[in-house]
Amino acid sequence: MDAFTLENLTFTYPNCPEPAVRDLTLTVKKGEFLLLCGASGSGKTTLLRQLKPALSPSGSRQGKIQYQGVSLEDLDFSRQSREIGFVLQDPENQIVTDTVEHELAFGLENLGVPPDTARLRIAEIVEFFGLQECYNQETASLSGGKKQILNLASVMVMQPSVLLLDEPTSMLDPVAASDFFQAVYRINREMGTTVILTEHRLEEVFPLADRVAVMENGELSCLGDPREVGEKLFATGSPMVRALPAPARLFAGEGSPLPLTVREGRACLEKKIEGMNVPDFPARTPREQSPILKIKHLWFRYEKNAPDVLSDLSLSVPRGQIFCLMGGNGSGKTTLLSLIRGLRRPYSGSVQWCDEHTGKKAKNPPSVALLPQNPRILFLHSTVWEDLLEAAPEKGKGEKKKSVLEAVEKAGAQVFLQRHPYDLSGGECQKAGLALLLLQKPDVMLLDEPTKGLDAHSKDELGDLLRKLSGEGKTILMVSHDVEFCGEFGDMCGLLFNGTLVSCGVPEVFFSENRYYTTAVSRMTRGILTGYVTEKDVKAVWRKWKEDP
Amino acid sequence: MKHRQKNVSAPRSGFAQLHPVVQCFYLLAAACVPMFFMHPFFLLSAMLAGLFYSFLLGGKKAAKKAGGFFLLACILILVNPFLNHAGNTILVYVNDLPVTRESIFYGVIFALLLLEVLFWFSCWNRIITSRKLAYLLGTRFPSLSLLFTMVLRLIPRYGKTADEILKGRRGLRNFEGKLSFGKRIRESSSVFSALTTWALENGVDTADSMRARGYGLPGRVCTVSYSGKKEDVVLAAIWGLSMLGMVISLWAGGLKVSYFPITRLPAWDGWMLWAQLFFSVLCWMPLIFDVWEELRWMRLRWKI
Repeated sequence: MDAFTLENLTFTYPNCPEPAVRDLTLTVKKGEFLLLCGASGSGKTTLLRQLKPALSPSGSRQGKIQYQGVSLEDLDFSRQSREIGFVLQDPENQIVTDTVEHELAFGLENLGVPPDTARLRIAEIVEFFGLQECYNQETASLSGGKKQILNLASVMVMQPSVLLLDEPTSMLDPVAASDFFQAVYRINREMGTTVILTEHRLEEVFPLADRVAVMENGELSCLGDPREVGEKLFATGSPMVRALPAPARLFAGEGSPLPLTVREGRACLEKKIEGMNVPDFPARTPREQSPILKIKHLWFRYEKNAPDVLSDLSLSVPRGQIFCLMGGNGSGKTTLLSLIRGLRRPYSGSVQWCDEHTGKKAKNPPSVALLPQNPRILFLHSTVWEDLLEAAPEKGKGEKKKSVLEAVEKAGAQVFLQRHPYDLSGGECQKAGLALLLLQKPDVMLLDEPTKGLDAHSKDELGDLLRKLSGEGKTILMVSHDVEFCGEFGDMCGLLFNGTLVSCGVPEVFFSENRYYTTAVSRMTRGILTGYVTEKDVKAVWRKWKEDP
Repeated sequence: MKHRQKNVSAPRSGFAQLHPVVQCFYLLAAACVPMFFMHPFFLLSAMLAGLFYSFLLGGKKAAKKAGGFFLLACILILVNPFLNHAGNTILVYVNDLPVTRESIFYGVIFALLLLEVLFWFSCWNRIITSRKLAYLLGTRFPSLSLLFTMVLRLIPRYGKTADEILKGRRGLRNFEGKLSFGKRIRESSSVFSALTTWALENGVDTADSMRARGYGLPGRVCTVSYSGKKEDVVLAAIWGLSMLGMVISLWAGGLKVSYFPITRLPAWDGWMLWAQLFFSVLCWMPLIFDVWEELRWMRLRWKI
């Protein structure tokens, strides 16, 4: 018997002319790991929610959905709660209670499981997910990654036979996301639980899936084995190609089976360059620019007896460039931005803005604006337009309007001005935030994790936008986990570890020196080619070789 | 710090490990009995027991807190005679208003009451964790108990987000110098408004997460259960007997306390002594039990 059978499913939201899911037929086998991907707005979340009646949005539905041979309408609430588990996007919002212990028990309490059985099940789950250390803690004290693992655990404790996950890692940093996927993979392999996962970050999860289904405009455009789907996407020139793992992007359409992991990619690369004489990648010489910001021996901690968050950090940021500061959780990235913006004070050391010509301390410091990690919290009106208008620093109404229109055009935020800020997708929200930032006409823009939760397409758009702004002379300092993005769009990259800067340089040099904390392409080319960090670099060589072997 | 590690479990041994119902009885009796009688000895005994017990549970932090409470009590003692002019024994006139001996004495009594309740309340906070409270309310008032734990989850989240919003707005805009009073009010209301929007939008997700895990099914249970041990029975018996003894002694001896117009305390007869002895057992028992357990474990571990 199959886990789910969907026949000609069409779903339309109320007051919407176009259906969000159109004439979709799909069978999900028991124990399968199905990856559901597609650009934002392609209807993957809508489809996933159709499979769990308790979370199905209101609207009109045609077609049939069967769960293990039973029509989904006939499935009672109790069985549905027990057997179909659902993990949502935001780790914070899903947590209902104040302690880890109670959160794990919540589902079982609803089901009326007797206390003795419940205790045993919780104990098992805690062991399986390695939650022993935080079992006695408050949920508020956990990190984002642990929170999402807790959400997964508190669904798995109900022993569902199907697990549905709606972009579960979009709010997590790459390390935590990787841990999360491994946990899901283990559940699938070791417990035989059927997994249906929607995701736009495919690097990690693409090789794990048994089958991949691609959605486009509410329709199923492609379905099959990951390698097949990868090849097909390239053949049709789908925009989803950008989201595929780097090895697949490099070797698509070459006839051999599509490599999905770095290991497979390296094998392909070695075969391909046999007999080729590939030169080292010419590293950019850093543009000689006078620094705009000098940070000297900065020390900071939150409380008197707390550990140091930043210790002896020195850094110099060149004018008019995109400076990317990377580092794991708790390395002090966000703290550093708030110190630079002057929201907090270091207990030792200095943050100095420099004059363009003399290089000494500037008499008129440049205007600086900081965009927080979740720009959504800055909006409080019912449309983006109203918020922007309120935030404009100009005095007159006409001038305000003019300045908003200017900022909106620069940020590319024209399309969704009349929408509610909370209805925006991650990429749109980031653009709206940038528009808000540009209104202040800052010389220096500080961005906190601007790529968090963005799909590949939005990331490219954001990167281009940042390039344009830096071309206009704005200095951009961003902190991020996103190695790929920083490698592609950064002028300078630095790694923050344990509160201090351990390495800094132009991307080609920076990433070639790093072995683990580096882009997938760099990991793939290590020891085979030198200095190649992004897909573009390698592709340029391909092209050159074709023209002039 | 963003992620401060906080352990929410109660202390590992002694009174904190007893059955929540027993704990609840002791803590409530210690805090509330003196409130009814307002007798100086009851208050003093409860206050001292509460003070020592909160030290035992909280260590240095509790000592710091206690300092603040004592300061508060001192202020109360100093201020009361100037606000309350009742009482017959006038000591001095200040601004043509009488300062009486009775009101000074009553100020002390009232400060004792305040301290006693505060100390026992901080002990309650350490002993009765949210899980235990969920259990105490759980079977009879499941929704109330869930509401309680959800509120406990939301309070730190709201605080954190409000701070994020505030910092976010500060980081984005160029506020030059200090804000005027009017602007500060407007800024706070903006933060509040943004927080409300955020809370409503995110609440939808929480509701989804609850629905997805079967919230609303009939027959919701509380999975925490505490079984009674031998110690629980013994301590419950001690509680019952002391309570009974105290009530009988008070009933036989009479306890009439009044502070105005003149201070009148009951005579120190045999019955009164008995009542006070029984009450002392009640409020010192948690401390005694903890020390007793500590010694027992020390002795057991000594043999390893």
